[in-house]
Amino acid sequence: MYYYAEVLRGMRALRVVAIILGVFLAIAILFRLWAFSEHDPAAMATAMQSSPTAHVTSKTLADGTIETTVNDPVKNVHAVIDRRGRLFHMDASMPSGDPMSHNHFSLGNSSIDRVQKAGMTHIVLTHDMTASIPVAILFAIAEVIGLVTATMLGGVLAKENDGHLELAWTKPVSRERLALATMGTDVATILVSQFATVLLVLIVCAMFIWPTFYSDATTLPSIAITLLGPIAWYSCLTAFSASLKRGLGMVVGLGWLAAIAIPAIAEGTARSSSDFGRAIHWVFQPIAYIDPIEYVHLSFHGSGGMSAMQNAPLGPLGVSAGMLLVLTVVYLSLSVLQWRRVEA
Amino acid sequence: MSTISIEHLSKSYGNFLAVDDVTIEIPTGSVFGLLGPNGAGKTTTFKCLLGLARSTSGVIRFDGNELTPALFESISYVPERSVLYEWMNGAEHLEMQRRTFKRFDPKRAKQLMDLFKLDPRKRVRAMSKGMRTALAIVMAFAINPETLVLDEPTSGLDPVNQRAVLNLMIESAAQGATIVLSSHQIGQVERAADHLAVLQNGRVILAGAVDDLKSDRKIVEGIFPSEAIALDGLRRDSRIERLDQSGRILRLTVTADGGGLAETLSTMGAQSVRIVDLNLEDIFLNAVAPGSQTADVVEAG
Repeated sequence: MYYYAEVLRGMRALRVVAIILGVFLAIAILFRLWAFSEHDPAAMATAMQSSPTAHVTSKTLADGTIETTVNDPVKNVHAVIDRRGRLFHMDASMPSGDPMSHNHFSLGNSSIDRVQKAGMTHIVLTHDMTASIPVAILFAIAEVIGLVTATMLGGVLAKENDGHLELAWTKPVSRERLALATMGTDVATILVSQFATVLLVLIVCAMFIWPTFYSDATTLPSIAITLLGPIAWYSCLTAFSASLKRGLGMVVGLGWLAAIAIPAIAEGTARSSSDFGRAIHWVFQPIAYIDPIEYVHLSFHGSGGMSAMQNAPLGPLGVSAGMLLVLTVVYLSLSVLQWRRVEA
Repeated sequence: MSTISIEHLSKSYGNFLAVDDVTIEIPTGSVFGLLGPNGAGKTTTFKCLLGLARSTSGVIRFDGNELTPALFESISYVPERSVLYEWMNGAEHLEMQRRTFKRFDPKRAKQLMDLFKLDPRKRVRAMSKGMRTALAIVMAFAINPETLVLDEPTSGLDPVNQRAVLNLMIESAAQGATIVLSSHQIGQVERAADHLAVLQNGRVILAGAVDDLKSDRKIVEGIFPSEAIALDGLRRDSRIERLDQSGRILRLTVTADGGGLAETLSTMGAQSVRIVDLNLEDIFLNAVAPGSQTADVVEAG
């Protein structure tokens, strides 16, 4: 395995990713503990129903909802709890010594509204586990981590140029094969970072609610975009630095700036009425076409803020996914072509 | 693998001609010293030899064949400056070699790590220059190469480790490896090398077997009672290649008839005269810097 150094470099990048994901997970755990410790719907309902002084009645409504009424005159607790499938709704009042306040908290399709007044607390809690979200959104979140990993690993050939060529090029393997194996290792690392993120998002989901994931016609191209985007960005950084011996940091820094600014300028001047604006557009628009970030610019539309994922500016998702694939192949090829001509 | 031949190699960077029509033949199993002052083109020659830099013209052959990636299975290169990965430790570098080269010998690697007292867990960024050089040497020798190209292989090493590297080279050459090295430590090259070439301004100005180069010339050294030595007759003597006077000491580099010239110095009033073999330093300095010795008067013959 003549690309062992790159494997180690990838593992170092994955350690950084693990730290980032670990921090997210820790925050999620703390949030879960804080948000639901005193408002865990199942625990609250069970506590009220199991009181020896409580009078509990249940009936099934026409729509299948099981409505449970709890009256506890001794504790002055009154509650109506509705359960239907994965939907939980509770309207309860109980004594409270806390001062008057009004708290509202919502997360996704769950919400808690608590009003404290005149020694009583009134809680309306809705826990809708019937939420459904597009499966592609998991990968969209992973795409962010993928871009971070791609940025860490991008410009790998320039890293070799910066003082290691004598080591790299005296291996019993051709430069082309070495370059492809090295970049292939990085691509695999980027994908691992993305799938690790998907796994983390699933774990976090399970900590709160387990949503129903759905897919539609946009799912496959959307996932393709989210997976290919970071790889295309990595390829772009590598291609633009493959012949450099120094200055990789500048390429990466300016690369991000340019990748965001160029499409914005092209878009901003698209409908310009002035000659200058049109000239700017004509210069920047072609550059925007070869900018991978242009194709990974994602936005979410639909009810609840999360539904179908749509690719923003350049047409259908499939075209964008195809463009990312083409850019990846072109940039990786350019990287190899440049690198084989570099001298130690 | 046998002879390495470099034929009419030239390499220019823009208008600067770093290597100028260099032709060298390196016999199999020899220790070949490439000498020259800084900027003479030694490192560039090595880079062209190994395909790390594209030659402007010329042909390089290993046993009659062009260099291919597969040949690197049996070639090791230790560059002048460290090319190790700063973020990796010694063990990881050796593991990289193990996974890359079929010939890698882990036992030998361990022996060499112990020889140079290197801690395999230490990261390169925490290593001194000498330790980095030693690790590069370990990596090179651990694959038991047939050809070793060593550019200043003892740079930064203490005298004990310098000696160890020399011994490794001699041991490898004895087992049939071909070693090409450059070094500013001429004494080390003299101990190890059996062939050499001297480069200056990118050109080969002297090349051959060390024994031949030494046997061609002798030093005739005379000590006179005063600094006033009549040199006129000697200047015209075709047997004298070079004439150095340092105070009362006159040194003649002669190409023939050392005994006759020793008698001449005695006749001129020298208090003592001796004939000595040239060492490599003399050969090198004669070749590259006729006026650079400590002589008060230096005249080429």
